[in-house]
Amino acid sequence: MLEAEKDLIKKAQRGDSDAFGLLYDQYVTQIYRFIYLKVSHKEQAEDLSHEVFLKAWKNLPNFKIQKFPFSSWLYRIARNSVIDYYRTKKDNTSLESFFSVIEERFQIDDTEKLTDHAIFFKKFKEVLSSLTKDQQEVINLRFIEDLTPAEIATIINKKEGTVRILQHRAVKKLKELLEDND
Amino acid sequence: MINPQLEKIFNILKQIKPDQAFIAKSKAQISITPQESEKMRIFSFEGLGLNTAIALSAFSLLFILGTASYVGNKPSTLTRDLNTDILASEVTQIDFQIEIKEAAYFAESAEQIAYALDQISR
Repeated sequence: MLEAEKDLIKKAQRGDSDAFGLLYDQYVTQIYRFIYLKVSHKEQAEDLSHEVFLKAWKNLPNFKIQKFPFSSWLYRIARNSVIDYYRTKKDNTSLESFFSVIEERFQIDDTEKLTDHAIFFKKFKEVLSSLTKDQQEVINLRFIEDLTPAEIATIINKKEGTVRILQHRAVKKLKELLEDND
Repeated sequence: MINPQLEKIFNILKQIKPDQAFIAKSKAQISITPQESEKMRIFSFEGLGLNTAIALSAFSLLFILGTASYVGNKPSTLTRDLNTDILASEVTQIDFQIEIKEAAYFAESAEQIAYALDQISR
């Protein structure tokens, strides 16, 4: 963790909301994206993101800097919030959301506008569905959030070696399936 | 090595961002919310080590059990105070003591009055 970030955390732990505001700016996009790809709903993603930072602010005096990175702590809160969200909603559209986001934002579901990229995307959609939940989560955190296996291990509460194995198997499976579809 | 087309998909997803209006509103709401106090932290054993927390919990348990045992074996004060017969007896004794004091007062004052009358008549 950077010294500057440690200072901000210490200030925020003493109740400095401006310092927390800077931490918020630093991490809000990645936390929002992480949640958005799981819930597929703009307003829900905003509500959950707000909840994550509110929990972080309230519980910041209890956060131990030495234990793990601040970002990992935020991801853990976000992950638990999403789990709670689906527990109460009693449905799971995380994978569908993954695709609807792209279709909605980039309008590539229109057959008249199909490009090579869109064709590949449709293939990717089928292939990703064959991965386990853990593998999907590792793919998301590793290749979209650009986190290290050590950080992912902290967030999903597994060993670093397990994360590497999950990643290796997920990428191998994706490649094999994509080749089969060619 | 990741497939270049896969990488393109990931790059598209990386462009997802929250609205600025949401960010401003959320930050403003958080800044006026109080943090969890240090007192709560102490009471939740959060700031203590595992050994200290276990020792404190064991001590608290022993204290509660000890107190309960003491109260259970010695019903004297509380139960005696709630016994209506004893209370009635104590009330009677109070009245009796008041009557004796009043009698003594009347006897003394009567003596003084008699002495005063005697002086006046002379």
